[in-house]
Amino acid sequence: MVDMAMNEMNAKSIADDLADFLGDHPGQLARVHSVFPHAVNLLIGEYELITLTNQGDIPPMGVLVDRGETFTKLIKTGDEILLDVDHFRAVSRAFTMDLRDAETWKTGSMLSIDGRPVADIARIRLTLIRWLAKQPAQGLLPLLPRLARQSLDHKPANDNIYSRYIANDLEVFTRAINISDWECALRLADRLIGFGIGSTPSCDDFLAAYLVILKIADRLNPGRFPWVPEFNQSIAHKAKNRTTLISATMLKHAADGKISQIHQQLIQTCLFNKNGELLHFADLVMKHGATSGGDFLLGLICALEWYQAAITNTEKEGERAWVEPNQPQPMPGI
Amino acid sequence: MTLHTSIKRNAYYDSVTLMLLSRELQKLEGVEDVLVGMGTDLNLDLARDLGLATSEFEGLTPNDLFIAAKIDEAVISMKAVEDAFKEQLNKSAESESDEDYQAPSLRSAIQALPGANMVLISVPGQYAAAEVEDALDAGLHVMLFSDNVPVEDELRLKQKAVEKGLLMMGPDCGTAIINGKPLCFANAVRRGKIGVVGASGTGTQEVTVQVHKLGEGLSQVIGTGGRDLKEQIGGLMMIQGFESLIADPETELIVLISKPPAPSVAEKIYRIAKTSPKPVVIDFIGGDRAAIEAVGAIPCISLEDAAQKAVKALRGQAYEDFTGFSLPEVQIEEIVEKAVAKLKDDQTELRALFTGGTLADEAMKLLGVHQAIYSNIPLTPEMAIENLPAGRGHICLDLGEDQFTRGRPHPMIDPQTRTEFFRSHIDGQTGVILVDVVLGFGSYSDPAGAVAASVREIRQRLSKQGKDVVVIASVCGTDLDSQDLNQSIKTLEAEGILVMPSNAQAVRLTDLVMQRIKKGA
Amino acid sequence: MSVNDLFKQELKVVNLGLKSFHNDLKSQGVTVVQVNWKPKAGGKKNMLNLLSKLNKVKQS
Repeated sequence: MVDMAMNEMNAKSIADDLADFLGDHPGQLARVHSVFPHAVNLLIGEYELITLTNQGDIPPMGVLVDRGETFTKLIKTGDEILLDVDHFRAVSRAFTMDLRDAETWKTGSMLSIDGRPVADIARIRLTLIRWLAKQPAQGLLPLLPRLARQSLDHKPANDNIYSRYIANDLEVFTRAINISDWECALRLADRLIGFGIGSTPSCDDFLAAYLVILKIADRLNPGRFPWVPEFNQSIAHKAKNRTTLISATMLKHAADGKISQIHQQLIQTCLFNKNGELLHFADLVMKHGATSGGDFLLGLICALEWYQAAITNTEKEGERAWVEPNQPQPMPGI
Repeated sequence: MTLHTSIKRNAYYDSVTLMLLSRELQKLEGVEDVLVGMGTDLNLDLARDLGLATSEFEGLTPNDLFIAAKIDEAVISMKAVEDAFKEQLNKSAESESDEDYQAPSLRSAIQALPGANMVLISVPGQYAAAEVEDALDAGLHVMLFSDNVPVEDELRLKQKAVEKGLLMMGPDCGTAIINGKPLCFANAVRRGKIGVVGASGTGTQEVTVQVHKLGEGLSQVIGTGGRDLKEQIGGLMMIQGFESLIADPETELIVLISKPPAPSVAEKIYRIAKTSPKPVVIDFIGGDRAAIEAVGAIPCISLEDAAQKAVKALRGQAYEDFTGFSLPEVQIEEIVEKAVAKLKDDQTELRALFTGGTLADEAMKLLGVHQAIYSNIPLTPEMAIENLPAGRGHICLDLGEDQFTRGRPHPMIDPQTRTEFFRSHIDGQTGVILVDVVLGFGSYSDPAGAVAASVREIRQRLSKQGKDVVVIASVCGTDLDSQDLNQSIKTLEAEGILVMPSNAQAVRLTDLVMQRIKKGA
Repeated sequence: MSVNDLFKQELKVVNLGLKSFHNDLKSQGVTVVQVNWKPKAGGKKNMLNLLSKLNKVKQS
C-alpha cells in the first residue's frame, strides 16, 4: 500500500561476522563514530566498529542498506544507536534499520577450490598494472612503475609529497616480502603503518592488500608459510595505536583475510577460476573510497608478485616443500 | 614565516576531500607549505621532515586531523587558513556544532541543574520506566513522551507519583504547557485563567488554540497520557491534575479532555467535579452528557465547543452547543454548492488523512453518524480499514497511530508519511479530502506547505482525467506559533483548499459536502 | 515538591531523549539540560540468536 518512509530502512545484506556478533551480544548500544556521504561507522566500546553503508560495497562487520539517497543525512557523530537482535534503532528515533530480511554475506567466502594456474595470475597481474597506469595517479599510484618493476607508457606522475616521501620504504618492504624476509618486512612496516592521506592512510590500504593475499596463500597451503599468521597479526596489532581506528579496523579484518565485498570479488577473480570481469571489479575498487582504491590496487599488484613466486615454488617443490625464511628466492621474470 | 598547527579531533574525511583541501590551502597567498593528514606518528614524521612541526604535535593522536602550515603572517593568518579549510568542508560534510553541556546521566544532569523540577523523557519505551523511577525518586516531575511502556509500570509509577505529589504525565504524553512553557508538541498560547487536563495530545492542542483565538489564555495544561483513564490506571493523573488545578490560584476554570473513560474512572472524576468550586468543562469525546450535567459540569460536543464554552463560562456568559459555523449559513451553502459542482458523478469517496489522533477521532465521531467510514480507528470492528472492499469506500486514517509510526517519525514531525498516503490513497473516485494541519512546537516547519504541495500534485494528476477534488482543512495553530499561521492559511487557500477555523467545522463542512454528493447521486 | 509548588517555580527541565525537545525549550528561554542517555547496564531482553534468523546465505 505505502512506499517505504524515509526513516525506516531495510538491510539488504549483513556480514556474517556481524551477524555472529549481534547474536552473541544482543542489545548493545553503539555511538556514531564517523559519518561519510554513503557510510556511517558505529563504535561499540573502545574498538569495535560496525559500518552501515548504502554504496553497494559491504565491509566485514558491515550492513548494506537498501537506500538510494544519502541516508547518512539522518545521522550524526555522537548519535546513539541501539543494536537490537533484528534491528538497529536510533535512540532519537531518527531511523530504524530492519535486519530480518538481510542476506548473509560470507566474509570468508574467498576460498574456492580451483586456484588459477600461476601463468594466469601473472597475466592478470600485468593486465592490472597496465590498466592502473591509465588511472589518475593519486595517493601512492605515482609509484606504480617503480613498485611494479615495469617500465610503462606512463604519463608524468601527479607526484605528491606523501608518495615521494615513502617511495623508498615501500620498495624495500615489497622486496623483503618477496624474499620472505618477513621479520625485515615487519620492521619496515613500522615506517608504513599510518602513513598517508585519508582516514585510511594510503599505506594502510596498500598493506591491507598484502595481508589478504598472504592469508589466502596461508590457507590454501597450510604450513607452507608459517610466518604469515604472526606477520599478519603483528601488523594488525601495530596498527591499533599507530593509525586511525577506521584503518586499524580495516587492517584487523584484512589480517584475517577479510575485506569488503568488492575487494573480495576482485581478489577472487585474480586468484580463482571464477567468472568475473577483472577490470570491472578493479574499476569498482578504484572508485571506492577515493585514493584508498588506488592504494589497495597497488598493494595488490605488489602482493601478487610475491604470490606468484610463492605458488610457483610450492608447485615446483611439491606438497611437502617448505619455504625457508631468509632464503633468497629467484625473482620470476615478467 | 611562522608555523601553525590546527587540530580537529576525531575528524574523519575521505582522501579526496583532504587532497583537494591540501591543494586549495597550498594555493592560498602567503601559505608556503601545508600538510594535511591524520595525526599518525609517520604523518607527523613527514611533517617534521618538511619543517612544519610545532609543539602541538605532542598532543596529536591518530584519530585527529591536523593542518600543519608554514605561513607568512603579513599576508595571511592561520585563522584564514582554517576558515578556508572549513569552507571547503562545508560543501560536503554536514556540520553541526553543539556548545551545550551534555550530561552523561540523569543524576549528573540534576546535579548540574540546581532547582531542576521536570524531567522530559523520550527514550525507547523499554528503558523509559527505569528513568521515570529515578526521576520520581529524585523528587522531580515527569513528562513521559515515550510509548510502549508496559501498563504495569505505568500504574506503579503513577502511584508513586501520586504518593509524592508529583506529576507523571504519560506514557505517550505529547502535549503539556507548564508555567506557560510548551513541552513537546504544543502551541504558543497566551497565559491566562483556563486550566486544562488532557489525555489526548492534539485534542488538548486544539482546545488551547481555540481558547487563545477567542482571546483567553491558559494557566496550566497538564497531559496524562493516552491510557490514564482506562480501568487499570484509574485516571490517576487526570485526578492529580484536576485537583491541582482546583487548588491553583491562577486557574479559574478547568477543562478536562479525554476519550470516554472507563465507567469507574468517570465516576471518580464526576465526584471531584461535583465539589469543585470552579466551573468544570468536560469533553469526554462522545461521552455521557447527562452524567456530566448531573454533577454540574459542562458537557461538550466537540473540542471547539469545549473551548467556546470554557471561554463563555469564564466570562460569565451564557453558552450553548456550538453546532454550526463561524461563517453565515448562506456563505456555507455557497461553499458547499461550489464544491460539489467541481466533482464528477463518480467522485463520491472521502479520504480523511489526519496527523492528530484526537482530531481524527473527532472526525470519525461526527462523520460516522451519516456514513460508513473505514478507518484504523474505526467506530465498530467491521469498519476496520483492513475490511475495506477492494479499496472502495470512505476512509479516515489516523496516521499517527502505531502501525504507521513504527520506525518512522510521527507525521506531525515529518510530513512524508501523509505525502505518501496522498499519492497512494487518492484517485479519480475521491470527492473530498479532509486534513488537519498542526502547527506549534514539535511540529514540522511548514506543514501547510507540505499539504499544499500534495494537493497540487493531486490536482495535476486528476486534471488529466478532467477532474478536480474538494479539499477541506483546519489549521491547529496560533498567531504566536513559529510556522506563521496566516501564511499557512494563505498557502493552503492558494491551492484551492477550504480552510475552516476549527477541526469541528472542517468536519462539519465535509459532512455537508458528502451529504450533498449523496443527494446528487 | 507538589504540583502546586511546581506551578509557582521557574520551570527547569532535564531532557532525556530527543534533542529537538531540548532545542525547542531552549529557544523559549527555558533552562534545560540535555542528557547523553545510555540504557542501564545489564539490559535484559531478547537473547535470540541472530544467525538463526539470518540463515539466507548468499554466495558472493
